[in-house]
Amino acid sequence: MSAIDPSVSIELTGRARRRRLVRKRFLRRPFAVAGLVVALAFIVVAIFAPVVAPYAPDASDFSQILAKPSPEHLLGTDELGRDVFSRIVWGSRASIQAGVFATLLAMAIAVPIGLAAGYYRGWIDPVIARLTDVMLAFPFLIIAVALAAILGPSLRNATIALAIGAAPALIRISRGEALSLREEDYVRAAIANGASDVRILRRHVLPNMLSTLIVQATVTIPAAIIGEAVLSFLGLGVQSPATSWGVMLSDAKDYLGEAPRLAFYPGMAIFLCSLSFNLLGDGLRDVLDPRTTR
Amino acid sequence: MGGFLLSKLGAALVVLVISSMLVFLGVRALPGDPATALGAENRDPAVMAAVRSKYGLDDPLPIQYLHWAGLAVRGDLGTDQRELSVAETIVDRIPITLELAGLSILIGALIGLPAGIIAAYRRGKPEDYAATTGALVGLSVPHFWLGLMMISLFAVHLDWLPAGGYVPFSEDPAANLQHMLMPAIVLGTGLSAVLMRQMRSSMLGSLSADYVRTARAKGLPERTVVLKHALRNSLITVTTVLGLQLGALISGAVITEQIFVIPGFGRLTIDAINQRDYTLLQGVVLVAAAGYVVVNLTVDVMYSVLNPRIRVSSKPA
Repeated sequence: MSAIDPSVSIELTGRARRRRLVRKRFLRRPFAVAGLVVALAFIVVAIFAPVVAPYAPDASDFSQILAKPSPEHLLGTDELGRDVFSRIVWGSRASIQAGVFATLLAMAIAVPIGLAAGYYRGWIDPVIARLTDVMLAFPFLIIAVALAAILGPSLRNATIALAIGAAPALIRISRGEALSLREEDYVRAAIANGASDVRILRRHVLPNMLSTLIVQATVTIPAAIIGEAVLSFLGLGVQSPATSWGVMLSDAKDYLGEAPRLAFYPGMAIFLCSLSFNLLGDGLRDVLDPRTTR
Repeated sequence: MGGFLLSKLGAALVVLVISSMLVFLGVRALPGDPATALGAENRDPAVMAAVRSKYGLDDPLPIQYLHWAGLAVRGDLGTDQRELSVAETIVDRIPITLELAGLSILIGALIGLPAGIIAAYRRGKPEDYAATTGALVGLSVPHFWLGLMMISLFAVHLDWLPAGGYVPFSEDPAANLQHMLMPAIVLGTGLSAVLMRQMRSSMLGSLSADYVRTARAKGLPERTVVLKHALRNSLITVTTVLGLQLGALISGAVITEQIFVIPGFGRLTIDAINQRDYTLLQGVVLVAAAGYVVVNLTVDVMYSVLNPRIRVSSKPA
């Protein structure tokens, strides 16, 4: 690919123009922008939790048990006198970690498999189709519960279970994309030019399914965040005294009568966090969908 | 048509066999020796050996699998740690979860389908924004948290509904529904968000289809055009989605039953894990997977009956 090749420079300006168009269209959607801002805020809080949180997550103050919200304790304290706001800040780490890493892991598993099935067809396609059917036949929570029982409960294992749960749907999507992209003229041209399969997949197929994958990733993250909360709530994820929003809900369920706010705040955190990613994903879908950009 | 059904049935059988192998192997991979659990405190090697041979634990794995699968096909899933028939326990628990699932689907459909139809029909109007935003909120709410909040409000503070538990319908229908109302709302609202989105997008497709234009051109009343012509076609896709949602519904039932202390199939799963009851766990997961496969096969067949284009265009895989 030499610098004077005219087709290359045209392709680059086209891509740059498309990028500018996408940005403009995205900024015109207030909900999507709000989703992006809030999602980024959650990520920043998770990274800088030690700076943001006024107290350590496990610092108990036994003179302040089940205290109401006050200037010292913004959201009050829990049954062990721990600051609820600080625990929510620290808990965001588990949620963001599970959400992002489970999604990345699921992508790393699903995309190559989906590509192989959709691009090569042949015997491999039906085999992979049946295997995804098998994976889908097990309700996600049952897989996760079983995995936690086999591997032992921890955030890492919960993340693995969430990734396995998310993989089949992503396999189907990337297979479908690869299936339609392999019929495109530029792929046929590359084949005629004698490009290797790896090169075709890397340079022509994968970049063209990127927008679909980005949208899918953005909507898989909130599902994984809720999944982490469910697993930790059932005692199969983050283990007390370490904190996560699911652990907080699990602790709070015994105090629904005296202090329902203990259950309210972590739930709101899960809700706002997954809502922000869902809003972002919906906005990206509208903006990146090639059918609407042309 | 026959070939199509046969290939679908074949695929379902393959999925079922592989699933059963996975269940079998997965359960073997769990830590802890079942012989220790079954022999209780008695660690005498002779007792352990007797237990192993009684339960066939000393056979090679493929033999154990074939033996287990052979019995499972005949409806014998073995006995659990309390020497109770696993099949009978599951059969006892399933109606409870089916009732919960049925009520949830009812609630989900009652909210989701009309909302989807209205949103599609009034595309870009305030009704559409309200419905799509509502669905997005529904997808983002952790439903078990919604359950906790409802218990806190309606059971603890207002004392309108029981916080949890289960009363069989045959004993006291009113109390049964009172106990089921909150769990069904919790599960149903999540489903309604998914159904609304699906209904909206397939209604948008059928509302712009040629046969709808033809129906309007014929001068049919708008009501008939939307509710008969467009809706009927959209419902086909929505049914398929409902079949695929079964897995999510079972997952949802596991946590909902845990929160509302309902002794259904989901709670049985968690109990089986906590008690390391291999035979029970094996049976539970196998039945869940088989249920999923059967429901989706039924949906596929119904789909092809309702939509002749599928039968004609699909070649046996």
